[in-house]
Amino acid sequence: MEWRETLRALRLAGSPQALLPVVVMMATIGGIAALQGVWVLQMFGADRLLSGMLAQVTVRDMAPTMSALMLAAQIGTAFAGELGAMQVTEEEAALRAMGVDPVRFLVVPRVVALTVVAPIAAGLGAVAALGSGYLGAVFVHGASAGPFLAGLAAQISPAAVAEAIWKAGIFGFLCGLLSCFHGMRARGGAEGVGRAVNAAIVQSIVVVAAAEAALTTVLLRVQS
Amino acid sequence: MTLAAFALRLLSPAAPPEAPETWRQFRRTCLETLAPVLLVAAMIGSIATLMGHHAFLSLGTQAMIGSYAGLVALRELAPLLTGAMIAAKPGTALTAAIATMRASEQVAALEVMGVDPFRHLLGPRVLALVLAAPPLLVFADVAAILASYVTAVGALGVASSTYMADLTRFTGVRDLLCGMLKVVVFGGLAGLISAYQGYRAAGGPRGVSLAITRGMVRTTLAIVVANYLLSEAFYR
Repeated sequence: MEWRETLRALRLAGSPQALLPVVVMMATIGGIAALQGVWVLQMFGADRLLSGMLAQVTVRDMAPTMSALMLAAQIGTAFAGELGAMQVTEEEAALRAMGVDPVRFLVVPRVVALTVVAPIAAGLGAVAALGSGYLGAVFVHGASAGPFLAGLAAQISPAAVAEAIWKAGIFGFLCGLLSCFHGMRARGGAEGVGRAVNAAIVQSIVVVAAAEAALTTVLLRVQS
Repeated sequence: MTLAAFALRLLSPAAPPEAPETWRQFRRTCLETLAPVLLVAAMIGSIATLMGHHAFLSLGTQAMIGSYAGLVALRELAPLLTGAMIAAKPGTALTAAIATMRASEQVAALEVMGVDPFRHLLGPRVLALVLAAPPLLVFADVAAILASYVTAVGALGVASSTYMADLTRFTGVRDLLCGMLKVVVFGGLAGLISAYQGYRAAGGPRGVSLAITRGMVRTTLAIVVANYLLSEAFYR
């Protein structure tokens, strides 16, 4: 394990510039879920369930997937671009000539960084979504704060938090792996780097959606 | 050049995008983006149905899963994912193409030859993203609802007639049209931001990669915020 490289990758993946988009995105999602969800649930006469559903959907599903995707967009593309640039400028070949293992030195630290940062981003994102959901429901829609918070608290169990953390870790790992894979395979100048970054982000989205679908199916079957 | 100046130059009526090139880019965008859009829409439709079913059951309400899935998928998820996929696939490709052409001074060469890059290069590509958004959304809507139906009826044991009745109770043509308006805005944002980031990219492989990262992140944020504002405007 290359600690110094891992620390560098962690510093990039965990930087405020990387985490701020996650927070902004999750805050708007929480706001939409609360404000639109109120209307939808009112149709069924069930608007008191809003906070419970918000907590369930945000913590277990939205936070891990969206945070991983936002990190893939921000850090995954940067990793694919960095590694791609090293490939086309033959820096990677130079490393190899010096006897440095490129997988150990370049790939592992980046994949580890995304795997570690994704759960942290998911935590921040969940807090942002629930916070803006609270603001939307209580201050805009006029729901009372006590029952809203009680509904939230009832759904945020240790099991839900644990699920969010390991799911986010898996998604972060997948995004890191795909980004580095496409970066290391880049060929043919700046154009090739562009193609690698494009493939990295598109495949990250598709693979995270597929993993989430598979995990949700399995988990719900196990729980019921 | 600032983003506003870039947008004005792009929209200037003096130099409308060239039609044949726009058509070529439109076809390419649709064909390239269709498969990932279908795939992700189907998976998201299925996830939303499973989650909704589970949440309704555990909270002790009647499972009106058809209404829930229809509302969530047609109003929010399908437009959002179509926008995100346009940003991710043709959007990043657009940034990469323009950035490499800038780096190798091909854009400057066009200008020297008296060819307006906004009319022949940038305009058609940006317009293609806007035009491709509605047809892609139709496919996303269909795939999401179909997957939701299969999940609900096939896996969760909801009666087919119940699902269809619930689906049509709260969702209608208005939701589809509002979704169209949303994705047109998303396509415009994706095109504008991607082209702008490509246009002002620094040279070399690193410059190209940085431009793509910036374009992708800013487009996603712009789309999410626009989605929030449009949802508030349409569904009050």
